[in-house]
Amino acid sequence: MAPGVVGNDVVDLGDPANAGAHRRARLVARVCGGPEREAIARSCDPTALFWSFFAAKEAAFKLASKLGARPVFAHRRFEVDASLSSVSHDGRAFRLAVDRDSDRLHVVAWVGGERPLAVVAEVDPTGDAGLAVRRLVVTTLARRLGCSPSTLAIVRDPEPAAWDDLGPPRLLRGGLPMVGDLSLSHDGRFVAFAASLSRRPATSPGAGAGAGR
Amino acid sequence: MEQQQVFDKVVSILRPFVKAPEALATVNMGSSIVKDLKVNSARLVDVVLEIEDMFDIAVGDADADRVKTVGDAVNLIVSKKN
Repeated sequence: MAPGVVGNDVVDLGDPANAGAHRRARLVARVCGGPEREAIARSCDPTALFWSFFAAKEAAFKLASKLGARPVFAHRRFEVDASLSSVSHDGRAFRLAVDRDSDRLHVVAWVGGERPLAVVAEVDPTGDAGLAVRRLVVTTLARRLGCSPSTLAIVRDPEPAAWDDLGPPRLLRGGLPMVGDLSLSHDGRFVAFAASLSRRPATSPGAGAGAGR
Repeated sequence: MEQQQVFDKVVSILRPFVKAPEALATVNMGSSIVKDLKVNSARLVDVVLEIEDMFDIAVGDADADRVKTVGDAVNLIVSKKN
């Protein structure tokens, strides 16, 4: 089975800025549609459910952006089912996996292929989170692939439409694109990634998932 | 409303959400809210809501999605107020 396309998002539930989000009616209304708001109102852990919906939408946006033209990112346009098993956007449905404990939650969205590898780690929140998540990816995947971390590299290509002017991350092994897909995330004390990768490198540059996105 | 006034107010809205406080010393119209000021995605929604409150305007999804820089936010607000 060919590797799928992935998106992921991690939320630090201990960040004071994230506390009690479900009580902020305008925030909830901006992010969630009617069925999601009703589910939050019924939930015994409404803050965590709000952030689960939020992270699912962020993960799905990252995924959807790799499948074609970058969509307008309006959280409400990504509809998450109450069981947190799928998210739909513009007529397409993506599968979801949620990993949650009392400190953080990590949501992975994917389409095609098997359930992606998903990894979360706690890091020094005052450090460079971008560097920390890349280090996590390289050390984890090098161990799984049985290769030296020095053979792996993460690159992002310029993409003017993106918020940070860069496209999705891609993993190179020995300088060649890996077949599959990678998504990075960080928030507060946590960094995370999701990966759906073949064990072999691409046979030619540009052969990664989603036309190199 | 003068552009400089709007700029100052936008920076005051962004200030509590900025993860790279050193970048505030050189913040300008071209500063990227995500890349330079390192405001994270969850806080971007808060920024939009605070802009709506402070300037008494409605910011639609498509407008919000186009705001990448401080200048984008300032120009959006000025266009809606004038």
